[in-house]
Amino acid sequence: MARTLLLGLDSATFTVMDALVADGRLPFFTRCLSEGVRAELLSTPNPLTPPAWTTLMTGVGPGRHGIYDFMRFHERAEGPFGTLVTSNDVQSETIWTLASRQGRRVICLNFPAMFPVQPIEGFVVPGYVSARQLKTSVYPRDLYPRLKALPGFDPKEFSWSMDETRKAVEGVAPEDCERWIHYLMGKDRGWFQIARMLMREEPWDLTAVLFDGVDRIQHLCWRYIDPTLAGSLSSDWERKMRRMAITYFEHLDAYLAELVALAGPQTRVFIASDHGAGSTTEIFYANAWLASKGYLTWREGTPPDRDDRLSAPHIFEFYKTIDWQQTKAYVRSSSANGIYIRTARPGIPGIPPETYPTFRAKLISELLDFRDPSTGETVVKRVMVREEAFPGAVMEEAPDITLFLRDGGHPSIMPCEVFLKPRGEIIGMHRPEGIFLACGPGIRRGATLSTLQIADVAPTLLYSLGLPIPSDFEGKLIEGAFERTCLEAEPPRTGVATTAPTSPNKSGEREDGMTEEDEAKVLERLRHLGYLD
Amino acid sequence: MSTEKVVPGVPRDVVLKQLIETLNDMTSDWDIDFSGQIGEKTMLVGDLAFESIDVVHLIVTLGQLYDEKDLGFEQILLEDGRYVTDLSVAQIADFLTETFAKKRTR
Repeated sequence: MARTLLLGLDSATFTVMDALVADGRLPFFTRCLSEGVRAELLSTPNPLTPPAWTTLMTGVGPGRHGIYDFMRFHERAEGPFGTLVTSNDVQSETIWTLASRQGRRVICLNFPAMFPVQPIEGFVVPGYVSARQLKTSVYPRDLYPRLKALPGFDPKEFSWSMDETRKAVEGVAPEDCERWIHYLMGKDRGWFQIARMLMREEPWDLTAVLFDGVDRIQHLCWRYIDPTLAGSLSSDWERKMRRMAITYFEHLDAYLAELVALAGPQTRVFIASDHGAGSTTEIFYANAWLASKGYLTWREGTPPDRDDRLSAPHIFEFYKTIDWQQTKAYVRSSSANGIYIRTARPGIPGIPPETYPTFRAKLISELLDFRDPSTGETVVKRVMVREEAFPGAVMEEAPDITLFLRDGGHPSIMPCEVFLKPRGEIIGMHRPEGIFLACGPGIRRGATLSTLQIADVAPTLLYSLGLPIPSDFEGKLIEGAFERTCLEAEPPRTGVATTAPTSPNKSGEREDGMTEEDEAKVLERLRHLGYLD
Repeated sequence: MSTEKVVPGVPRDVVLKQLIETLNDMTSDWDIDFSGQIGEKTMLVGDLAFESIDVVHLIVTLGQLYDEKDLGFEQILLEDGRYVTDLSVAQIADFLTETFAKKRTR
C-alpha cells in the first residue's frame, strides 16, 4: 500500500490547464504531467457537482447512489418539494468509510453530500455547509476549536453559501468580478490551511481535499480564461480580469505543490475533476417550450423572464407559477438538466401510467425536432432516457429525459416569450470531459491513457491504499496508471460488496411506522444523553 | 397549537429539552442580536435569524438524533403550498411529539 493523496479540482479541464502549462504558469502541474499519467475523465451523464463527486466517492453511478442534483425532491399534488441533498440521501458506501473500516486513517475535506458525517477513523470537514453550521458539522466535533485556532480563520471565507452557488450560475456584474476572484482565492486558501494543518499534525493514509474555486471562477470568468477567447479581449479591464484569473490558478498550483511536498515522496498523488468546462452561448427556455406544446401550464399572470435567468431565486415560489393540475412534464431545476414527466398516482395528477412509453417517445421526438428559428439548426442534440442514463435501484428519482443541448448549457426553467435566446455574454458551463492525473511511487511516467470513467477513481484509490476493490463497484481499477512491477508486486484484489450506509431510513420509505424497537432505540439514545430519567 | 400535550412515544418535555439544546448548540457562536434564553416562544427567523439553509441543518440534526431520515417537516414548513415565514420552538416541539405519537400508534 501507499499513502494516498487525492486533490479534487472541481470542474478542471485540460482545455484550460494545458494552456496554462504551455505558458509556464503552473510549475507543479507541469511536473505532475511529466512525472505521471494523464487521461480525460468522463463525468456522470449530467456532469454536475453532487452526482459526479458522489460517483467518484462511491464507485457507482447516480442510479445506485441516488444523488442527481443539489436538491432531493418528491412529487406532491401541488408540485415538487425538496431540500438540499445530505449524506442521508447517498445510498451507497463511500470510499471514506470503506477505507476507514479497513483500518485506514482518512482526512476528507470539502466534498459534497457529506453532512451529516458518517463516523470514520479520521477527520471530515464536509462541503456545502454554511459558515454558521461549520461548528456542528465537522467530524469529530473537537476539530472545530483547532480550525478556529488557524491563523486568520474565518469560516465565511471558505464555507459554502447559497449566494455563491446562485452567482456561479447567474453571473455577477462586471464590477463585482474582481472581488469575486479575490473571494475564490480566499476560499481555496482556507481549505489549503485546514488540509496542511491536519496533514502535519495527524497520522493519515488517505487525504482528500476538494478545491471548488475552479468551478466558480470558470462559470463567471470563462470568457477571460478560455484560451481560445483570449485574443478577443479588447479592453484593459478585460485583460486585467484575465491576468487575475490566471493568478487564481497560479495560487492554486502553489497550494497543490505544498500539499504534495508535505505528503512526501512516498505518497501517491491523484488529481481529478468531477467534470470539465466550456462555453455556453444561449438559453433554451425548456419550460416555456413545454408550455407551448401543452405539456406545462403556467398560472395566469406569470410574467416572462427578461433577465436571462436559468432559475428563480426562490424555487418553491417559482413552482407556484405552474398549474400542477394541468402539467404533464416540466424541468424541475436547471441543474438537473432534464425533463420530469408527471405520472398519475394516488393524490398526484399526471399522465396515465400506461401511456408513459408513448408519451415519452413523442416528447423526445418533438425535443429533437426543435429548431433555432434563425438558422433552422436543432438545439437538443441528444437525449438519454432514465434507464439508459442512470440504471440502478434508485433511478426513479432521475429525470425521465436528460438533455444534451448544442451549446453544452443547461435549460432555463423560467417562462419566456421566446424559447431560445442568445446570451449577452459567454459564460462557463460544465462539460463531461474532466481531468485525471496521477504520479508517485508505482505510477507510470509521462503516459497518456485513453478516456476513463469517473467511477474508476474510487477503485483506483482503494487499490493504492492496498485494499480490495468491492465486487459491486461499477468503476474499474485504472491499471494503465500503474507500472507493471507495481501491479505484479501488489496484485489487485476483489473484495466483498460495499456495506449500505447505516444512517436512518435508507429505504426512503417515509410512511414507515416507528416500531417498538425503533422507539426503544430512540429512548435509549435520549436516556444515554441524559434527557430521560 | 397546545403546549400541554401528553402523548405516547417520546414525551414532549423531552423533545422540547432536546430541541432547545440543539438550538443552543447551533446558534451559540452566531453573530445575532438575540440575547435571551431559547424557549418555547422563541422564533427561528424572528429571534434566531435563521436562514433556509439553517432550517435544513436543524432538520437533519434532529433526524440524526431520532434516527429518522425524514421526519416529514414539510407538514409544518409548508402552508397552502407556500413556505411559512417563521416557526416557534413550541410549534416544532409539538410537531415532533405528534409525529412520534402517530408513528407509535400506527
